[in-house]
Amino acid sequence: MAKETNEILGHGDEADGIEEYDNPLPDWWLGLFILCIVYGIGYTINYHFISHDSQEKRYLAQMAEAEIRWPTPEGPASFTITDELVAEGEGVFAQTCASCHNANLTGGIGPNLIDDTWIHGNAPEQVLATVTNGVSDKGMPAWGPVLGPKKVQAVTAFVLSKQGSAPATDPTHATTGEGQGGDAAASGEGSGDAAQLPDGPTIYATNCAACHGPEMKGLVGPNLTDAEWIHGGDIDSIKHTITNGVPEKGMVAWGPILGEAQIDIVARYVQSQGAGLQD
Amino acid sequence: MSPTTLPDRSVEYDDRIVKQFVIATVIWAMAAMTIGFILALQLAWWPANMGIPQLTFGRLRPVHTNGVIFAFTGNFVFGGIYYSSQRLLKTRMWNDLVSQFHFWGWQAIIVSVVLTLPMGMTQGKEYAEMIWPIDVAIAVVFLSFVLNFAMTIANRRVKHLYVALWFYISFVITIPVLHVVNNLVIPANLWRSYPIYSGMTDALVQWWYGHNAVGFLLTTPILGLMYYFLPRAAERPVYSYRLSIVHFWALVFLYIWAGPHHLLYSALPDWAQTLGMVFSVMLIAPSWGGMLNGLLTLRGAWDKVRTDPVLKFMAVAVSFYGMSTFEGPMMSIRAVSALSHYTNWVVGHVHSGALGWVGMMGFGTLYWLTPRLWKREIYSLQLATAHFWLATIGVVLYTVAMWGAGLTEGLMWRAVDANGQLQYPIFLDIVAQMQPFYWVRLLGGGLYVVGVYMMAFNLTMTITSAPVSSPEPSPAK
Repeated sequence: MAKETNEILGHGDEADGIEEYDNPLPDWWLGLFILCIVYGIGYTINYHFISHDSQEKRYLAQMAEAEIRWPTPEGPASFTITDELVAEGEGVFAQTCASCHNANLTGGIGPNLIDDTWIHGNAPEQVLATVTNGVSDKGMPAWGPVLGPKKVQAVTAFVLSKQGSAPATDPTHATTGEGQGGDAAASGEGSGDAAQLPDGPTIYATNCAACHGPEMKGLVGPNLTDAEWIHGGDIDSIKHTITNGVPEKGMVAWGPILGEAQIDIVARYVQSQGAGLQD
Repeated sequence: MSPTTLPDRSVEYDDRIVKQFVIATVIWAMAAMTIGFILALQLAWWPANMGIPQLTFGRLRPVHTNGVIFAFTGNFVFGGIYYSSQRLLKTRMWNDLVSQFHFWGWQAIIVSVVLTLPMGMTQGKEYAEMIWPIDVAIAVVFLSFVLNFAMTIANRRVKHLYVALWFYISFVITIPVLHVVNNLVIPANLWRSYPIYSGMTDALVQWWYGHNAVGFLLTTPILGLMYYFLPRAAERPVYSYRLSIVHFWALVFLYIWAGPHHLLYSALPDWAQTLGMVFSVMLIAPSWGGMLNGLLTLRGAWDKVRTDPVLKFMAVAVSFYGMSTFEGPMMSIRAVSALSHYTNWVVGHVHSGALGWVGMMGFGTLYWLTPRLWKREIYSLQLATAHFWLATIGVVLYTVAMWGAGLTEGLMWRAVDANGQLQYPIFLDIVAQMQPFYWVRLLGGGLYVVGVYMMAFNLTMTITSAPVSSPEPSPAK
C-alpha cells in the first residue's frame, strides 16, 4: 500500500514558491483508473468480437421483440368496423383530428368529412391510406407513425361510420339532396345538366368555407367580400383562379375536383358576394 | 513549507496585459451570461424574443455559447496564463507588442462574432459558427499568442517546468490544430463557405473539435490555472507531484479520442462509437486526479476556506469539476446516451461544467488577482462571499432543473402504451412539460448572473479605491 509521506520535493523556488509533496498515487484512485481501463477493453472485446453486437443488430432485436409483444395487425383492408372500434376511434378523432376537421366533422382547416365529397376516396382502404400517409401538399400530416396502425384503423372506422350523417344544420345537406355522387370529380365532369348541380352557396360551403370562412371573410385563404381581388375580380379571372389554384399559397386547383360546371356556379356566387369593381 | 520565494527583482513582469485581460473577462462575463439569461427566459416564455429576428433563440444562442467559451473563458485563461507564466518562468513575456496584438485582436474577433451571428451569418457548426474570415483572424491572433508563449518558455530562467505550464502547453498546441482542421472550408463569398468534409466525416471532425474544445479550452488550461492559483491562495504545497504527472498525461492522451461519444446511435461506424465511449469512461480517473490534487491541497487550509471567498470559489469549482467529469463519462455509455441524448440533461451537464467549474475558478482567480494587480484591498469581502452563495445556489438550481427536464422528456419520448404505440405521440405535449423546469432554470441562472454583476461592482470599487502600501495584500484578511 502506498503511504503518504508529505515530503516536499523542493521545486518551489522554480515554481513561484509553490511547493509540491512527493505523495504517491492514492490507491483507490489507481484502482479506479485500472478498473476503467479493464472495463473499456473488456467492453470493446465483448461488443465487437464475442457478441458481435452493432446498433443495427440492436435495432432488429428490438423490432423482433416488439413484433412478439405487439404483432403487426392484418392487412389494412381486412379490418372490420365494429362498435368498439368506432367508439375507440371517436376518442382518437377528438384528440387528434378535431382541431382541423372540427369536433362534429364538418371541417375547418381540413375538409368536411360528413358530406358526400370524398376528395381522396371513401373506400375503407382509401380512407385508411389518407389517414396513414397524410396529404402533405394540403397540410394533412401522416398519422400512421404517430398513431400506429390500431388507432388509425379505429379513427378510420369512426369517420366511415359518420359518412353521410350530416347534421340538419349543415347547409350542404339541407340543399344538396342525393344527386351528388361519392366521387366529386366524377360528379363534376359527368353531369352536364345544371339543374342537377348544387347551388353556389352549397358548393362554397362544402369546398371553400374551410379556408375562406363560412362568411367569405377569410381564414387560411383571403377575404372574398372586400374590394380587393388579388388574382382579378372579373368572372374569367375568378374561374381561372379556382380552376388552377394558387399552389404557392396553398389554394388547391379545383378544376379536376369540381368540374367546369360547378366552378362556373361557385365563381359567379363568389363574385356576387364581393364588393368593389366587378367587370 | 519553504518560505515563498521573492519575485526576481531584475525582471519586471508585464502586468498591464494581465489587467487588460482581467477587465475584458469581467465585461464579457456580464455580456455573455446576460444573453444566457435572455435565452433562458425565451425558452420559458417565448414572447421574450420580442419578434425581432436578430434576437430569436437560434440566432442568439451561438452568441451566448461562443461568448462564454471564447470571450469570458478565453480572456480569463489568457489573463491567468500571462500572470502565472511570467512568474513560473521568471521572465517577462517575450514581446509586449505581440501581447497587445493578441489582446486587441481577440477583442476585435469577439465584437465581430457578436455582430455577425445575430445577422444569421453562420457556418452552422456548434461552437464553430463563426464565418471563415473570422476563423482566419482567430488562427492569426491565436498563433501570435503561441509564438509569444513559446518564446517566453524558451527565454525562461528556470530549469524545471511547473505542472501548470504543462497544462498551458497542451492548450496552446491543441487549440490551433482543432480550430484549423475543423474550419477547413472553401469560401463561396465573404460570408459563406462550404466545409471540405461531407456528411458523417464532417460530423466526426466537428465533434472531435467540439469535444476537445471542452477538453483543451474549458479543462486543461483551467486545471493549469488551478495548479497555480489554488496553492498560491491556500499557501499549501500541492498534494502530489506524481499524481499531477500521471493524470496530466492520461488526460491529454485519452481526451482527444472521446469526441465520437457525441455521435452514438448515428451513421458513424460502430467501432468508432465504441472508441468514443470507452475512452470517455477511461477519462474518469484522470479527471478526478485533478480534483483530488486540488481538494487534497486544501487539507490543512480548510479554516481559510471558511473565511476566504477565493478558496470557497475554488473548492466548489474543483468539486463541480469532479461531478461533471463523472457525469460526462456516464452519459457517453451507449445505454445512458440513448436516454440522455438531445435532452435538457445535456444542457445541464454543460452548465455544471461551465458555471460550476470554469465560472467558479474564474471568479476565485479574479478576486485573488485584482487586489494584487492593482495593489488595492478588496472593496468588500462580504459582497464576494454573497456572490459565492448566489453562484453556488444558482448552479445547483440550474443543474437539478435540467436533470428533471432531461429525464422527463427522455422518458416521455420513448414511452409506449400497452399497444406498443408511442404514449406521447404529439411532440408539443412533451415540450409543454418542460416549462416549469425552464422557470426554475431561469431562477438559477438569474442568481448566477446577479452574482457576476455584484463581482463587477466589487472589483470596480476595488480598482478605483486608494492604493495600499503592501505589495501583496491578502484578500483573506
